[in-house]
Amino acid sequence: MAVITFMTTKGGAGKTTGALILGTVLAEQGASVCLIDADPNQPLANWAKEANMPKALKVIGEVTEENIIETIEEQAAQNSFVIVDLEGSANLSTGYAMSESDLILIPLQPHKFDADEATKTLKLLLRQRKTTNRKLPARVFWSRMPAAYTTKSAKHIGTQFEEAQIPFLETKLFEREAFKGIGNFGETLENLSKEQVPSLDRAKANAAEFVSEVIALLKGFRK
Amino acid sequence: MTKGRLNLDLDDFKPEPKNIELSNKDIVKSLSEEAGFKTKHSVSKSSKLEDKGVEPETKRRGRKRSTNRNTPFAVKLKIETNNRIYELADELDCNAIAEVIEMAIAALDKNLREKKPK
Repeated sequence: MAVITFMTTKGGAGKTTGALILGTVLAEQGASVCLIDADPNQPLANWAKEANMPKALKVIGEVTEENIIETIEEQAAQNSFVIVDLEGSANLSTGYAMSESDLILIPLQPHKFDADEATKTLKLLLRQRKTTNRKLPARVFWSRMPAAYTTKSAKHIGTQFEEAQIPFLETKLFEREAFKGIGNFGETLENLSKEQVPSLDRAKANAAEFVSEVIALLKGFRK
Repeated sequence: MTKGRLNLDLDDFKPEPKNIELSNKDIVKSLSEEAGFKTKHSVSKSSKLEDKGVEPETKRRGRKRSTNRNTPFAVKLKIETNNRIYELADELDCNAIAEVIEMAIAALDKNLREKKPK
């Protein structure tokens, strides 16, 4: 069992998309997955109402700072993967979810605003690690990146994070219509059609690479 | 295809009880709040009160903002004094009779101060 949490205080950074990709792909591999929606806007819970979801996937909404720890605990006993999606703000649920995570994933877009918000989350992470004496493994990952090129802003921000020795996932999640299509059409990447979204195969390859890296990391932490 | 491309061995990830130390919750809460990660999901006032076994406050339409006038003050007046207070309230466009009394007291205080020999 592994708890994976997507967090950053910046809204629109790619937390929900990342959680959806990871959750749906793992469930399609046959693993039992619970997506916990702790965003008051309830994007995942609303998606689940209409979506054609894999059988192994369930979504739990209305999770707040009052019940997030208990919900993670409850779902960990029933699922192979518990994936938590949080609101893009500095909220207490983030602190609680962080403390229970086997892997923390922080999406980052190549904008200074995103970098500043990711830094806030990383500061809280360092404080929690120090005080609770827990490892709390974390990775920043490039999210919603233009597929064709790496911008100068991305290089600049990436260098700053590298200098601070903050580890990145090797895989970048690109800005793809197919990723939006999961939400827009209520289908997994597997069930979307080429008529619905362009570059579907590339999106699937990108998602597969992302999920594989996350699984390899989690396995590595266990050794 | 995702299914075709991926061949993940996920056997290591079976459901298992998570050993959560609830004693850490308070520490995490204070750490988070110090870092600016605050309460966002407030529980409605009524459910909080119910949790504590307190009767929820009845909400009424058209209630006014608090004026801090919360001390009852019942007196018997001559009818002409009573009516004069209401006339003044109309003349001075006061929302409450208490306002007339407050203004009257302020005027009386001022009057007394001015009369005091220096």
